[in-house]
Amino acid sequence: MKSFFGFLFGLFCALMIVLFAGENPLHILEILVRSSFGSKYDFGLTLFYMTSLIFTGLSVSVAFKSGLFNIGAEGQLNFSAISMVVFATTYPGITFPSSLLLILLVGILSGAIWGAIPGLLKAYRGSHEVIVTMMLNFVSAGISSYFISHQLQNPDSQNPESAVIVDAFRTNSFDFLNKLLPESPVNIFFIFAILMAITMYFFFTKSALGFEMIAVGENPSAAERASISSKKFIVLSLVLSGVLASGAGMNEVIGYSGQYKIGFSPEFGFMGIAVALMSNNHPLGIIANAFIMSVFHKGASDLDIETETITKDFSKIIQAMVLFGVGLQYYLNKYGVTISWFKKRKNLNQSGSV
Amino acid sequence: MEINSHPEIEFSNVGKRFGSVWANRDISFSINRNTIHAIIGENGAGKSTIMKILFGIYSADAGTIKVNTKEVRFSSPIDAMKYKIGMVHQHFMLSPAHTALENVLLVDPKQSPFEPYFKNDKIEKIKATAQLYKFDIPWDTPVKDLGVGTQQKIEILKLLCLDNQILIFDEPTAVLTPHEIDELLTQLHELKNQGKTVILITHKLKEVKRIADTITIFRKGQLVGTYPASELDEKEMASKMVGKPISFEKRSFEKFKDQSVLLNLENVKFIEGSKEFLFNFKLHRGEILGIAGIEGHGQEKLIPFILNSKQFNYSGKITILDTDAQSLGPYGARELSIGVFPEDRLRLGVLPELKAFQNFILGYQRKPKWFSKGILNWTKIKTLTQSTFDKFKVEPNNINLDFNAFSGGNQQKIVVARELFHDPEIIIAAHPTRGVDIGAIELIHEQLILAQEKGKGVLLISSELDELLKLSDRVLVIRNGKIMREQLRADFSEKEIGRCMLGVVQ
Amino acid sequence: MFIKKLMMVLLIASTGQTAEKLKIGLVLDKGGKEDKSFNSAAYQGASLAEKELGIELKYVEATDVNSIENLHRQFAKKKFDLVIGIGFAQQDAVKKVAAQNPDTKFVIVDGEVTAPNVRSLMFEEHQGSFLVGYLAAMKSKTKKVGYIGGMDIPLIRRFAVGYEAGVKHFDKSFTVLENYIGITADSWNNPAKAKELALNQFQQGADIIFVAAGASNSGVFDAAEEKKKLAIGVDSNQNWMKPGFILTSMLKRVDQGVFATIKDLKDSKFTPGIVRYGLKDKGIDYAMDKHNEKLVSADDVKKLEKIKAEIIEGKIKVPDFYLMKKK
Repeated sequence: MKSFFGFLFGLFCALMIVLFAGENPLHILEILVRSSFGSKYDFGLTLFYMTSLIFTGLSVSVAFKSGLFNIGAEGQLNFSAISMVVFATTYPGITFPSSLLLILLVGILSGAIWGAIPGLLKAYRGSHEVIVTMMLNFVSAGISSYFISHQLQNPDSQNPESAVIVDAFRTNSFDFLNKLLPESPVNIFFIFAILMAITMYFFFTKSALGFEMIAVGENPSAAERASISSKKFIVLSLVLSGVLASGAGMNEVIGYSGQYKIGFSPEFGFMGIAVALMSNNHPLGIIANAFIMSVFHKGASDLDIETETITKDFSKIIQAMVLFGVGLQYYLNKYGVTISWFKKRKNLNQSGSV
Repeated sequence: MEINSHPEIEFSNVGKRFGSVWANRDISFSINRNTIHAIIGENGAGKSTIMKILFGIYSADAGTIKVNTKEVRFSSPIDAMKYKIGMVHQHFMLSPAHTALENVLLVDPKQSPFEPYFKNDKIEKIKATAQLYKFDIPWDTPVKDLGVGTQQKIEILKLLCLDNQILIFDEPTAVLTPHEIDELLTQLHELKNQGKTVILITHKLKEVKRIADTITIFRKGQLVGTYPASELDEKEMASKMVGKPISFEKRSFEKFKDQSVLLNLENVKFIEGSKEFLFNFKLHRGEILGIAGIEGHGQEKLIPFILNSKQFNYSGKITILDTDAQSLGPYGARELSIGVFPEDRLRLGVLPELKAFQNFILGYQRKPKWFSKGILNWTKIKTLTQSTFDKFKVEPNNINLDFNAFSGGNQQKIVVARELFHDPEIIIAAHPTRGVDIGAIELIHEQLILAQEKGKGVLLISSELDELLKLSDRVLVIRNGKIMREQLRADFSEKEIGRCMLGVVQ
Repeated sequence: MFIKKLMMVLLIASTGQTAEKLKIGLVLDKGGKEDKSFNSAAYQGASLAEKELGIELKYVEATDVNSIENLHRQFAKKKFDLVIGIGFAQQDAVKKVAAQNPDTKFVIVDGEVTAPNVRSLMFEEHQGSFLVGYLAAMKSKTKKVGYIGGMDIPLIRRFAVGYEAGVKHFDKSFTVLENYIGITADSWNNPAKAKELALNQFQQGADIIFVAAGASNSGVFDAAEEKKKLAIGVDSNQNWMKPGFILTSMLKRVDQGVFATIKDLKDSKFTPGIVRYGLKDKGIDYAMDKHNEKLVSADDVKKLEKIKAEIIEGKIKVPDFYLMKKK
């Protein structure tokens, strides 16, 4: 809630820029609202983006909390997605309840592995996690490309994508959320994402493990003195980070398309960094900011269609303005500057001279 | 001297408010030219605030300030510098990678961006200034490789090269060793001899007594008074600062009967970096064992070593509460009822940006008192923190504030309260009163004595000889990682210990 | 008040004006209309139609795979008459949205969708690649030529297979170096990497490189200029981009296909089904203009035309990667 004024301010600035581009700001606002809520499909697609952004936002924030910068959420969700598809195509015969459990397990494990690699390297070899996670993004892109073009290529399509996996591995047969918003890609993982955010909230506020993780992030040397092994928590938090990122892969593979398409993620992993930063790593704030980001991401293409000047690149400027507004608010909050602060200051100056 | 007929700086009815709290209220006093003027008071008394107003970091909410009879109102330190006012901050503003000389060169405000930094006449001027004030500075060494004392000299030299007349020092001795303090005080005298006005913010009364001409005392945001230094002794100063008589009495040293050993280091030897450490001593029940030594001579190494000896490759034997440290798991010592006041509070003891009550459980987060099945009981933690805050008189008495928001003394109180809360058998107190005001010092000392009386063992590491002499049953002097001397209560001699620390006697 | 009025005026203006005009929506791939290649060609065809046929054109660029379907839906919802999807990646979206909007016509380029309101435009890239491969072999002095593809996908492999067959048809002893820029959609937009690969191939002894990499092509052209070697462009006529260093361009006349489809719709002759463009109808060709007439002599053209005729007649069978895969 604290960033709400910042959000409004950023939005206001963005709309002013739009005015300079010769568009009516109200019209832009109307398009944005219509594009996210206009129809069941629109709303569903927005929520679908939001699902992945919650997962990656949480992923990045967990690493941030323990003082690490995970720019590898993209690679983690990618690796998890390709692993699930490889698993499902290798063992198509597994029957329903166990199939779903197993594919979830594969998704979680693969995300965990992709998080554990930078974690272990950082903790025991001192390699910088930013470099390692970035390289792993390429590695996982390479792995998925290998599988897609050499092993799993969908025979019915020229697209770089895998064949669709068997229904037993997917949630679409019982997905009540998707039934509510038919045709749209939104699925049951949206609910999981929200639940995950709430879980993370309680993890950090209530559990000793969460407290210890924050302690490592805040002050590793003090944590070490307090018998908290920073090595252990570096690995743990990056593993957790990878697992959370894998949720975005599940959202696509298990929840929606049932296949691995190269380029299915419009860099959710990197958008997650913005979401986490906007929310100051607060898990519940991530829900709100993931929504804002997805509205703008979804709105970008609609603005392109409906207006003359607002292309998809221009939309990026609008997104950046909003981000900037929220960031500014965070900065002001941090230094105790609020609207009432300005008022008080004014009063003080008046009374001070007496 | 015409110029001395009026005060150089004059505060009248100055006030400063943060929110609804007045940090300074109705402050009126003056500072004369070419004197050493000490501003003393407990942490949070408002002494730093008033100086920050003078230096333009804060702007006053009420009252006026005159510099050389001219009314001024600074909105930033740049304004203050125009009036030749300079400030040496507690945390130095130096670029660690640059050499000493470069750091001084870098501050010239008249430097144009197109001019080269290194010009011989400038360098000569700097060196001449250093010579005039008798500064001995290794010019070509990067600042990061220099000791704190030398860094401080560079900081002072920066101000002198800008021809500042009024020099404000904010707690300059807080970070220095006794030897360095001596040097600094001599230097301050030298500054006065050269005609400068020195304003010294401090709470170390001994130093004040030694060099100040005039003393202004603050308490709780208000002025207590301005006195010629000759009129007050240390005890009177302390009472005026705290607002009540202070007992400077020493603890009673009746022998505690139980002589069982709590901590035993037998010929412990380990090498770290290029340094070799050799420790051999016992800590008994009901004993305060003082460890003296110049900082960096190995006494701080004792703490991580005792807590986590397995990480070190050592020979000899260390026994903690009858347990061989070899048989402990990682971090095992911490579980054996040891309380630690860390040598560097902010770096090693706390999570500065988290709340006070969160800091209260750091290191003890898995105690069954508030922890079960993975979950922390914050309600209980808050209640217990609150009661400890009351007991230790932490100000402000608000457990929901960020740790950062407390003054140094109160921060230390919180750490001490946390470490004593679980009633440890062994207390390792490293510099327990560093950067802490008188009221808090008294409280912390009381607590250590109380622990001793209850039969606990206290390992007191300190660079303040006064503190060691006041509290310890025995004092060990460490130099170059080795114990140079053990002195019993009976034959304490400050001089002996001091010389031993410096390695003057063998 | 003022703004509301303004909006109403705008709305009325925009709806009133286009009552009779055909509304065409063009969904471009991530490369965007400035790729001077595949998407550019499609955009040129459509904007030519806008000028000559008096239609209303609106084009958009996809932001990600999932947004493609959204864009097609938005066009359909706004009652556009024809929605054109450029690129294989749009196949599924067109299939899905076309089924739900039977009144809107759709065109998919490079993909196959069977539906009563969809026309699929397919190009016989392998034939054109064979031709430029043959030309490259004729011109090569080192008996070594290169191929640089954009994203490693079947379509781009189809270029490669055709090209190699063309080279080997000239002389079996030739070597063909083959590299791909990458595996993500970024590959279409990474001239730096393309240049690096090209320099490397030149280093290995190749003297002519055929590049099929969208907006990344310019990197290869730069490399050719730097090393005084030759490159072959793709999709649009790219000979002008570095005159003297571009031997020819393999034309994939997406512009023609797009224009023809819009014209058919205007003349009420729109038919669904697959329309294949190849050498026969000049939908696939090689580019000859003032920029490369010094590089390719009339004699060379004669030889090429002979090969071209043989392919059209079926005397030469050009291997098709798509069919190879299905086996």
